[in-house]
Amino acid sequence: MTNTVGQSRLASLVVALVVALAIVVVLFPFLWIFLASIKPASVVALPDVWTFSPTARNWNDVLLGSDVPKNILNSLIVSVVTVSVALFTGAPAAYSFSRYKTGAGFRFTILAAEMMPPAILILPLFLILYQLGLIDSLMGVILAHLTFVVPVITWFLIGFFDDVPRELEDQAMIDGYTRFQAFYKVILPAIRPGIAAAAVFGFVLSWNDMFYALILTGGESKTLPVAIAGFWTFRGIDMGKMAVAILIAVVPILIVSFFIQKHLVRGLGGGAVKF
Amino acid sequence: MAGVRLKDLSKSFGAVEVLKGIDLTVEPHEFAVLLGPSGCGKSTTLRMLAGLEPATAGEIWIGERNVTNLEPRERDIAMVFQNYALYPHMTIAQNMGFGLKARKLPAAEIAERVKTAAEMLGITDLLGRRPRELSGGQQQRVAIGRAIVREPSLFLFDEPLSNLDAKLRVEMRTELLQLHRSLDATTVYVTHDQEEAMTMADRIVVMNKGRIEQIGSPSEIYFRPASLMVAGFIGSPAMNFVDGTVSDGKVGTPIGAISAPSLPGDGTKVTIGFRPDDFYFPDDLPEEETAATLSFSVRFVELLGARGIVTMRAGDTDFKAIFEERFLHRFEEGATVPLSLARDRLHLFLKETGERVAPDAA
Amino acid sequence: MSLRYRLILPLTLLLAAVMAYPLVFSAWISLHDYRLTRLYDVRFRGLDNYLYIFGDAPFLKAMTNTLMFVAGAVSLELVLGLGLALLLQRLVRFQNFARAVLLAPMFITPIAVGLMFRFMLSSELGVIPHYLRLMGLGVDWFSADLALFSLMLIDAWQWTPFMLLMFLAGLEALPRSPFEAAKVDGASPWMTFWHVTLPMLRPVILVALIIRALDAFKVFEYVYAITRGGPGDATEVILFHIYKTGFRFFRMGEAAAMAFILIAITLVLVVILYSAMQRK
Ligand SMILES: Nc1ncnc2c1ncn2[C@@H]1O[C@H](COP(=O)(O)OP(=O)(O)OP(=O)(O)O)[C@@H](O)[C@H]1O
Ligand SMILES: [Mg+2]
Repeated sequence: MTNTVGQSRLASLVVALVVALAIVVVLFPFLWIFLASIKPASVVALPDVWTFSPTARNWNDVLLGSDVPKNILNSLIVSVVTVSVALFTGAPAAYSFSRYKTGAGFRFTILAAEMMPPAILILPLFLILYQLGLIDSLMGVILAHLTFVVPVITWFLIGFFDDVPRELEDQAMIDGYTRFQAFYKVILPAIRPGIAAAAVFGFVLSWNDMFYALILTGGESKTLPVAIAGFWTFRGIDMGKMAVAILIAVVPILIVSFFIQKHLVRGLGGGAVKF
Repeated sequence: MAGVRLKDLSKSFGAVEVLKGIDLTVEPHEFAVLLGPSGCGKSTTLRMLAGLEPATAGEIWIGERNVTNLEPRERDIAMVFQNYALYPHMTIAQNMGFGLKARKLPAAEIAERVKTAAEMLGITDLLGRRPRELSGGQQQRVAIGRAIVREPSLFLFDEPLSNLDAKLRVEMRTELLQLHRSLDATTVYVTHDQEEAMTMADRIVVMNKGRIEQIGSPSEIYFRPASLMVAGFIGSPAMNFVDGTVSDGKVGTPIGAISAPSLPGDGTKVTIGFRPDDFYFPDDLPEEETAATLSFSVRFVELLGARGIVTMRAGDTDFKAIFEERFLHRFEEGATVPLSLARDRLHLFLKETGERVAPDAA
Repeated sequence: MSLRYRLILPLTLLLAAVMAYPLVFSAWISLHDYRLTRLYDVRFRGLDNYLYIFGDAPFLKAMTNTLMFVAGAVSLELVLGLGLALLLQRLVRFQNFARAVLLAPMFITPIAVGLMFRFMLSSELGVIPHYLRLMGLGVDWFSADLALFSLMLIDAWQWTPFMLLMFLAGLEALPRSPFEAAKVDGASPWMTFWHVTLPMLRPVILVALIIRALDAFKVFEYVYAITRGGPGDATEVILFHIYKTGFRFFRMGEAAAMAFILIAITLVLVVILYSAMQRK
């Protein structure tokens, strides 16, 4: 339904203005935080400074003289491992749900797991990890992140498997493969875009989590979001450095997320909602 | 090339019985067409032949092998699907070679066979592309190419032409037939398009509600339909029917008495069928060949070019007749026209079972 | 075992380990006086934890705050998202660019959002209060009266894009003919919206609404970044309250009981969501 035909000039202008305003509202915080990251320390706390001589000092300090690179590495390890495990377990299951219409009970469980409040899992996870001596380890965060990334990725992939015609698998079997070979040699590659989108989405979720990481990590194992939170404590803040850390956490995600936008709705619907 | 035998083959999905005992033999090199209305079990039969659906009961033989419990990959068959089922992430060449790769042929031989098949089908230019960059007709050719590179002992087609436009469909029929002959292949071909079946088949297998109604050559099926269902299903416009009761060597019907050869006993309820092309002007048909001369009132005429379809009424039933254009002036709307039926063009069926009674089935 | 179930096996085992087992453990904790500081002395309390928190003012306050937050934030996002989706559809040029930019906030880590807004809205350092003051508006965004509302606004900044995403997809999928018919019938844009667009979009709206509500119940980062529940208990939301009870005061039993009450609410919403999705 593109309904631009017959729209008056004035209406078009009003539409453009309102959308432009929304864009400003969205972009302004990024701009302000970017400015903060290159402001000299003397003006960063002043609300109305727009002209100043930019400095790379904050960037230097954060990238070369702080734990942030280590935090980035931690976050990367956690997200990549979590997503890999989630794909290995979630993709076959999603295929089974889609191909065999495996019971509503299973699908409901996946959706419920996806929506499970973290409050319920953090207590036992903490205690279990504590007993296993895994507090303040990346392993612990990975286990915690699996609790939401695995259901999300599974749910996400169901819709993409639903879109693969049954005959593709039949053809592969006639071509000489077993059913399982047909799955990983034909069906999986055929939904590569969906898998990529699911992986990126899972990565974003894991990368962005602070709740679990805050409770389960400490010194060495801090992930990036926990580290960012640490820049503003009751003892004081370092606005410039925090701005740098925020940008580091946010900009790469914005770039990758751009590529999955068009697959996102299909994935969130989990094969149930078809738009 | 191998023949096919289905022995008392049955299939149920849960409690629903979809195939109820299919017995069928397809000779080597034959082009057999499964024809029937939607939902009658054609695809199911073909998929069982391919090994994609397990049989509930019965046996499937391909050549000298009982393949009933074999996997698709062990049956040495190739299949072309209605939606082509090309692998979207592979190039055309990869699509065509995939089955050979599965059988671990050396890459050079795969390339060679793909090339040969592509030349046969005139798709050499497409080999580097991906399926979504192809038109429907081109995808169709690729799907066929993928089947022939395999050099299987049996080709299976499930409505392969039904997604093509009318003109292309007719062209592809000829081409498929030539391919079948030049490969000396055995083919089982599913369609619900009777024209396709009539023009392509060595033998047609008419199916209905999970059973085989009739097996025969196209002309047998057309001129000697074995049952009411086949008679009504084959031919367009469809055969005309009128019910009646046998008495005194004739069949009494609401539109008049019709005489017919080899009638069953008096009192038997029968259905008489006659095709739209089988109406004659009374003067053109000798007395001894006339089964009846009946009067019809013309309702309307549809001109199809050189011929026209006349829709007429007798009793409270509509009948359709086909006449050449030069005769159509006789059928003015509302006019009453006497027309004759030829004895040797009548089809007689038992009303109760739909079984053909006369003239004999062969 | 058939392939169908073999394919689900790894997932089942994994979820059993990281979810089912912790859930059961959590249920067990909720029935005990389980303190991190007194692990040698864990006592069975039956349903006492549950009975206790139902009479516990801070818990009830946290629940109220959360419900208000969810209702406020999600309805704000619904209205803004629907409005923006309809506008974006009518945008003549730069549609893809505008869409990409407007969707951006939903992808970034909430803690960054919280801190960015804490920085921009703070009374002394904030750029926004500064310019509002110049216009003669002195607003203290994180005062007791306004703090929860401010958090809703921040949530709306981050999550209106989700609604936008869903509604854009929903609108795109609508058939054209009803709109053309409405036009032929001479319906005003407003009538078309109320009687054609909205009813046809209803399933998508329902699904988007519930997904967002479920997510909004998990609000934590903004509170952690900005108010830590204050001033007083004005922004104490349930997840933050559970976090405090469990990990500041180490009263795990009570925290687990609270979490189970949260689960009950969540499950009701999930059931509605699931049936809404199936109906479509
Ligand atoms: N997997 C299945 N589960 C349950 N019923 C099925 C299944 N596959 C087919 N059927 C049913 O079996 C019957 C025969 O189906 P089949 O696909 O063989 O028909 P067809 O003759 O190929 O029809 P069409 O011309 O429409 O393709 C139909 O009633 C169909 O609903
Ligand atoms: Mg079929």
